[in-house]
Amino acid sequence: MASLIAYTKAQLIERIKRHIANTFPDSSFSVSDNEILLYIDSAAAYTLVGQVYAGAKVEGSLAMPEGWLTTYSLAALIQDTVTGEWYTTLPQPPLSLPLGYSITDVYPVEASRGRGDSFLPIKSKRTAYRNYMPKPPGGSYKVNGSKIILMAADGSSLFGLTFYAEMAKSRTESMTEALNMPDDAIEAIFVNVTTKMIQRMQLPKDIISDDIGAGNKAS
Amino acid sequence: MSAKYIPIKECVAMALDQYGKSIGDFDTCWLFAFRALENAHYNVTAEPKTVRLPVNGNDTVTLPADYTNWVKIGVMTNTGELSTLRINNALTTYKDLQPDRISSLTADVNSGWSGSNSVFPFLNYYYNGVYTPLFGVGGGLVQFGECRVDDANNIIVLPPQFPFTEVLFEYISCPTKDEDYLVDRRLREAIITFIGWKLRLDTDTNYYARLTEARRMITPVQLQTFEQVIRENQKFCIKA
Repeated sequence: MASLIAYTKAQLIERIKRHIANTFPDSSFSVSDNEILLYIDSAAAYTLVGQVYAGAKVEGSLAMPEGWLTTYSLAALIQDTVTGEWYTTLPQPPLSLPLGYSITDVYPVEASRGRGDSFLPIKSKRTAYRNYMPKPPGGSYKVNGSKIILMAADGSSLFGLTFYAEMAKSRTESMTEALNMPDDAIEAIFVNVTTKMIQRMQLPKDIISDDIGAGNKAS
Repeated sequence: MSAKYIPIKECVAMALDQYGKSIGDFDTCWLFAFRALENAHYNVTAEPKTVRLPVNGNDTVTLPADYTNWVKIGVMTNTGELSTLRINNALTTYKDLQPDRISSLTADVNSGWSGSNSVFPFLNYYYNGVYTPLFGVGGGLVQFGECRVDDANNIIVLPPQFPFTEVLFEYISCPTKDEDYLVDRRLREAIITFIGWKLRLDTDTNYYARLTEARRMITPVQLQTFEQVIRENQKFCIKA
């Protein structure tokens, strides 16, 4: 099977620059790659959340498009010396969707036994009183920013366990990492970023296209 | 474990699937299922547990820790049946948790009739050493003793000089956790509907309809039982 060409943020930045400059951008192009990246990252998250709600209009219930999902192997758990809680760090803070959509699955893995039962997410508004109610067997987790705190229902130690987390990802580790998103989202991100940048740079894009010099018209 | 039992996790997963919810709602729905299980347990599916409990030195019986409601209290007969004790709520619960309970029960007045009478108090007519049935007079029940349940202190109170060392106790227990809580498979639709009702995606009317349906499945009509009732009720009698 032929391998497909990976699409990266570096390519997307180049495309945006060429689109705005209407040619290969030279040193006079006043926007840095990192600045464009900031626009792209925020546009990616915005597009992702929008697609979830758009999907709900079709299906009648929220669902995360699978193209955004990535499964991470989380760093080794650390035990908080004061609270005794086990925690680790997520690759990025979850998006502003309810747990179960922003993070779709968290489970322990072991080389000899494969994957364990999924841990159950506890939404932040429920964490304070959750211990007053009965608990299903297994484990649960809660999230503070990019910190994920895991608990076994019977309070047993999670020492040495490795966890995988399947979550929606809007960021990348590098400019050249392949984008994990549906292709239809790329167009939405492109339009979102170019609209904002053209507006910010006050580039009279239509006039450039007419082959008239850039800048405000004097006459 | 019998195939008729399923973990409530299975019911919850089916409810999430039915109502288009995510794993983020699992914990909440599991608690709804737990409440449905308790509700259905006390209403429909409870299977009484039978235990044989020792009588304490102060003529009380300590109830099991998972006791919630009693069904029968009695003693074992030589035919393997349970013969119930009479419930006498006049028995005092005074000092019923203390070892010196019996010595503390000092009588203030004498009762008109006491169980220590040599003649057993049949309600029928006794004359010249012979019992003769009298029409229209209640026959009473054969009783091997009396008791009172003290729910607050989780014990059964027996009268002084209770003659047996053990009592048979049938009771409804708390749902117990066996890996996950297990529930009768026939109750699944009711539990799913209960979750839907609490999520405001279904109605209480539908829940009670499913619960009634479940009860009918759990206690089906069996022809053998009907035949037995008919046979046992056939008797010689005067036809009006």
